[in-house]
Amino acid sequence: MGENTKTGTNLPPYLRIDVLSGILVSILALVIWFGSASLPVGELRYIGPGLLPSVLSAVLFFCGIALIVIGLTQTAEAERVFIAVRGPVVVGTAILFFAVTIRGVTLGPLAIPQLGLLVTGPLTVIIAGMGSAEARLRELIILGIALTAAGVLVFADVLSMTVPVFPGILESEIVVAWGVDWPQRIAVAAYAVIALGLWIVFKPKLTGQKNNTEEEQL
Amino acid sequence: MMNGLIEHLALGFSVSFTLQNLFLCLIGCLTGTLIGVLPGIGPLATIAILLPLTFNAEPVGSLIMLAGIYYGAQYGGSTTAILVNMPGEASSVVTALDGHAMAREGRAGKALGISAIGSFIAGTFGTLIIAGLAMPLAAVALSFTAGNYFGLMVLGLTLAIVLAGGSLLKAVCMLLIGVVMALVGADPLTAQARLTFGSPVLYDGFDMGIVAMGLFGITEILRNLELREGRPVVRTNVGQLWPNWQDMRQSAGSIARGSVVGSILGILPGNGVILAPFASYALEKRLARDPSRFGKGAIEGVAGPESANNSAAQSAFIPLLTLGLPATATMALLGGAMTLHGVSPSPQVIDRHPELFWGMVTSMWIGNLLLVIINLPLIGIWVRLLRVPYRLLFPTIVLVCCIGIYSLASRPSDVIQMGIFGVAGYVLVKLRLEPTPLLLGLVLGRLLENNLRRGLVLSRGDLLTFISEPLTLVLLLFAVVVFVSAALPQFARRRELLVADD
Repeated sequence: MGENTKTGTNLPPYLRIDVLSGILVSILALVIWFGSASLPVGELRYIGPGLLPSVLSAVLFFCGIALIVIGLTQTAEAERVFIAVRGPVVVGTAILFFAVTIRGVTLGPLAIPQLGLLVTGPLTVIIAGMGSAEARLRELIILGIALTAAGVLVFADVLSMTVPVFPGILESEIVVAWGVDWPQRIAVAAYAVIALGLWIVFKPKLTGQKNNTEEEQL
Repeated sequence: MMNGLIEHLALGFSVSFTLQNLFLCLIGCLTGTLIGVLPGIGPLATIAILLPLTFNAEPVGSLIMLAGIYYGAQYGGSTTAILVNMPGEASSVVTALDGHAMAREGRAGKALGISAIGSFIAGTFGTLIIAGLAMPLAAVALSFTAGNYFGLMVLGLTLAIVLAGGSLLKAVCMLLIGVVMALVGADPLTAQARLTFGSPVLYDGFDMGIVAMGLFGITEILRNLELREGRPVVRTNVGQLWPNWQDMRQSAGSIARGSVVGSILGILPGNGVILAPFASYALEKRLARDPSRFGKGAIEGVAGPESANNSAAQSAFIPLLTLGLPATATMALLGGAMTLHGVSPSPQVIDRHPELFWGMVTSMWIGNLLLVIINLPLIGIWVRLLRVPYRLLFPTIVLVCCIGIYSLASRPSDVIQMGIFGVAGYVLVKLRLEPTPLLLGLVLGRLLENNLRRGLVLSRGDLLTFISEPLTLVLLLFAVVVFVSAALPQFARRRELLVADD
């Protein structure tokens, strides 16, 4: 992070924390004003739904402008903004993936099928895990499968929360004859076995890596 | 008075001592500590992450569980501070000073032990303060008019942003954004859609739980992700767990003073919970015969601040439970959870739901007791947990958050909202716009508008009559004085030094 040595007065406005936050706040204020402009303001005796949003957006706008002015006139105390891209984008994608595949959604022409926790879970963990610079795929695969087993057991079975467990295609095949609980429990057991198996298979590689990092630390 | 108090406490214990509620309290304490122990995750993020877990139980049970999570998270933060010198939240920064120094000397066990004992004593004291103050304060609050309430809320919010530290202007911006977010959705009187931009998802307004989980849970993860993982050096040599007689004698005074300081500061809006340990540490250092021992493993430097932290965490409940006004973001979250269970925090809660109120108060004491009993034997597990690398922890938290939010209402849009708020929160934090005031605004916005509306109807639209009610006037004037004095340069500099994190 230290490659850019520009600080204080030399810092261009578009990199200054206060200028950027001022711009963000002012834009939000304009959006709020735009959204509430059509609402009746009412009168003091009976204030309408539009009064508070309009007044607050005006105040907010002035605060935003004030922030921009402060940022532009800063000299030595101007701070540079640092925003990482990988973490937010990757983790955001993982969350979005979970949202659209857990039950499946139809977005206009695009129909995303239900993948259920059993498929969505491990994939979400793997995608999210990639948000770290230190991600290791093998570890994440094992973690994803093990966590999904635990998640189905805790959330769907013990707490009986309404989370789709099976992919849509499978669900229509099994539920009728076996009831709800047992297919889930069998899946949990299967996942636990798979995770354990993978762990044993990958173990030499995983521990090898682990030892390396520990040596680095020492 | 005294008889009444005992009667109330007895009623409370009859609720909180049922097998189910004890169990929920235990689960709350355990899961709270479990998440709270993770480095970089403070109480606020912990509660946000675990909120969905509590929705299955009935109101009393789930509030007892939430309170348990809250103490567990506080306690977990101290454990991390002592063992790895990575304070999970601002309030355990002070604990890390002497606590970690003790750990380096192989006295981690004693530091953890005294912190647990101190917290329990302070928690008991804090619980008694709540029990004693709640009735009279609620009685006063019941006579408040809409105008008084409006004034009180403005004062509370002003104090909250003034005491929160960081830029005052930015705190005001975040507060305003929060208030506007509270107004999104159907207007309570006319049912007109406000600021929904045509989206049916927004017609129900923003759900505080989702916003909090995004802004605090996910944001926290994104913030930690960019720190290069220095594997924390965990002290495995915990040493003797129970402090001996000499340690106890040395820290008895600190615990007593810390309890008193904490319970006074905790009532303050804003971050009394954070100020309390700092104040206690400064006090102990000043009173000590040999101040140079501080920072090098003085047991008083752990006992005092830990007690202060806990009694403040306790008395922070007072404004919420008696006035219905949350003083900190954490309390705002708990207040929001109460509302979700159909018990909106207000002065009437004590009268209308005595079993809930007293059950919760007594469960606080039980929670503190449970923490002492369960946590000391479990230290080994927490130590092991601290060694799990972050690259494995954070995908776990992401998945738990996704499942938790989805299972609340089976709405994929809720999960997407959480993601959006998580990323937005990260950008805000990077721009030094602390999201804490936003949450306060979000929780209080509707209430603020309702009271303004009601007050203006009662005063027939006359703004002057509305403001000139003596109590309202005093409260509003006080808010102005606080705000103006905070904006003065000489105060502003000192304020900026306070850390803005709850």
